Amino acid sequence: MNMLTRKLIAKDFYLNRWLITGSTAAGLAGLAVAAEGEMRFNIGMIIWLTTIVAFGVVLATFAIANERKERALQFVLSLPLSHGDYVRIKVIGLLLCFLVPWALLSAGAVALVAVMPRMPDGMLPIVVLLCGFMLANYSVVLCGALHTSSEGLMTLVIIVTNMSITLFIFLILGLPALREQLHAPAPLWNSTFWTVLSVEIATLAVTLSLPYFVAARRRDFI
Amino acid sequence: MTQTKHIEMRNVRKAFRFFTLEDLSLDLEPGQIMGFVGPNGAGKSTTIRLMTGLLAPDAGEVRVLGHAMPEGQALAKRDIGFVSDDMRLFNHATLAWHMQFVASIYSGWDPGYAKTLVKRFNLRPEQNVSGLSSGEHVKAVLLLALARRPRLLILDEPTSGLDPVARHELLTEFMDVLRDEDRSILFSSHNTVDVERISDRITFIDRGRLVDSSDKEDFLESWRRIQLHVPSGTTLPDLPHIISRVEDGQFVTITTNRFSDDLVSFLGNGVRQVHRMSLEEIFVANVMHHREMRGQ
Amino acid sequence: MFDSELSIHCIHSMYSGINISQTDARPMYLQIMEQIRARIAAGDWPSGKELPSIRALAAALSVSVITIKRAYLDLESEGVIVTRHGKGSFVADVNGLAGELQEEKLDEHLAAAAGIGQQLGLSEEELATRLRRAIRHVDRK
Repeated sequence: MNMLTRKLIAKDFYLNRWLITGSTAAGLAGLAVAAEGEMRFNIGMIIWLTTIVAFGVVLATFAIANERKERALQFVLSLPLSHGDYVRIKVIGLLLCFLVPWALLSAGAVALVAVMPRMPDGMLPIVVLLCGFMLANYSVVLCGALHTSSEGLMTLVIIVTNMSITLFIFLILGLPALREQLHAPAPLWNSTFWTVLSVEIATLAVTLSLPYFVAARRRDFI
Repeated sequence: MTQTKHIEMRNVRKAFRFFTLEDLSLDLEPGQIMGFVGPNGAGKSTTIRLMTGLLAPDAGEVRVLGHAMPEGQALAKRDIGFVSDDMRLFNHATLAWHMQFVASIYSGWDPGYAKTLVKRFNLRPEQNVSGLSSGEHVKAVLLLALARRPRLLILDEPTSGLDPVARHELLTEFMDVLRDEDRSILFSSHNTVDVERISDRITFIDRGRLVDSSDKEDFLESWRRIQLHVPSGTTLPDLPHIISRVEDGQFVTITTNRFSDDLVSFLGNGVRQVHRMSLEEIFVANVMHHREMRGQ
Repeated sequence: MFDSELSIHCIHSMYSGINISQTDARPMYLQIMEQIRARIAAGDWPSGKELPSIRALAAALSVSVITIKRAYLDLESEGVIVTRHGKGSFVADVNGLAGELQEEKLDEHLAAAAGIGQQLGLSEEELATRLRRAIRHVDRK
């Protein structure tokens, strides 16, 4: 990773520092509430979930679309890099910016379920799938932000990805192979789990590599 | 020293939905300042974006500092300082942060010069960029470009929105760049007074086409407004290189772009006055004539 | 890194009297020539004094290099200044250093002409004829 790449990724971390720390704090607060169990668990998990999702959307749109809108993109493109470099640096940088809080909060959620005696460990597969889903969801939003400068299209992407979270939860809880394990004392990593996980990983792979093949190859920027 | 032209554009074409840049050729030698002048919508920004790799030409060649653009832009931009009046810095950082950011990327950063410019441009490094006025913002971007001492400066309307004092400061810095005969500047501007003063070469562009490109002194020496008295009954001889002709009774004012002493003697006794033309007058006359020639 | 602030102020104080006005009807190069001639005539710029380099003066006055070049060229053809290639420009004078510079310059030009004449296979007489023709051409101007 050369100096310019490091500097630009560091720049994205620096400019989004309050967003990153604030979201992490909010997510951890959600987990703390959830730890108190029962009703609080539901509320806390909703806070946790919403925080991660919202953070992802704000990060992706702010760091890309806003950069363009506020014409800082012109400044970045005046630096010694190609369009392909810019896309690649954005993908890596913004993925890392998301991964830090996401990893912390996912680990926190997993730890919460595993450690707390009141939470049946049978929930773990679902929690893991949920964490994976949010990462995949974010990469869809990121991919969208890198390919379109249309605000309308971007809004559509955000709305669809938001809806899909609720849909995903219903789907997951609707699958008997997963729902039945919810209250089990030990986690069961069955084939349904692996199937859903591989779909998530595939989505991740596609949406993170698409920019390298499409957006990076654009000859005209702006 | 270096023989490579700093900017070379050959028969460049770039088409958009409602506008096409057609058959544009342009050269900038090291050690020169070129003023790039044209009405709004003429294609100045498009041309500049082609030079900086933001756009790729549909046809023709663009070479900057010897690199083909846009393919070679990552290398070329190491030595190019590009500033456009609609460029902005990162909203949530200070000017000082930007200075260390740029300094860490470019080896040519001169911290002493940067400090001088901060004072000269009346900026405050600790101030957040979001608090800067539009004029201060442009000065900040220019500071970041100038303090790197790049070989080539490409500036899109660098002085628009600046007060006269700031403009004067900026022009002084530009001319300072030219002390080094290996550095060059291309700047687009509506301010024909400034262009007339500091440019070595001037290029006029209108409606996507090159109108004229020459040494400034050639422009100023070749264009004249000549007032003649043509008594009734006589007609003016047919003359080449007459850009325009305005008749007011027995008085005729002609504009020529190929002035010479021979022309005056040829016109004979009728010549009442010969006026030099300012760059602005030359620009307007040139563009009007060009549009006429193209049936527009 | 040279201290640009200091050097700009130095040059400004040396040539701050020279003012080029764009609202003046006369072209910039003529204004420059006049002001240089005035200083030479007044004795402020004595014969043999080195003129600022074209680029240095351009930067000091914020006037294009091409304009300064033109002013220097015209001043040289008037004989007011002398330019030694690679050395700079100096205030001319019939006597003294500048005169010597002119003589050296003449010798340089003649040596170059002799060299080219030899390459072209011209005889001494043919070369002399060419020189006479050139002299007549200058007289006519």
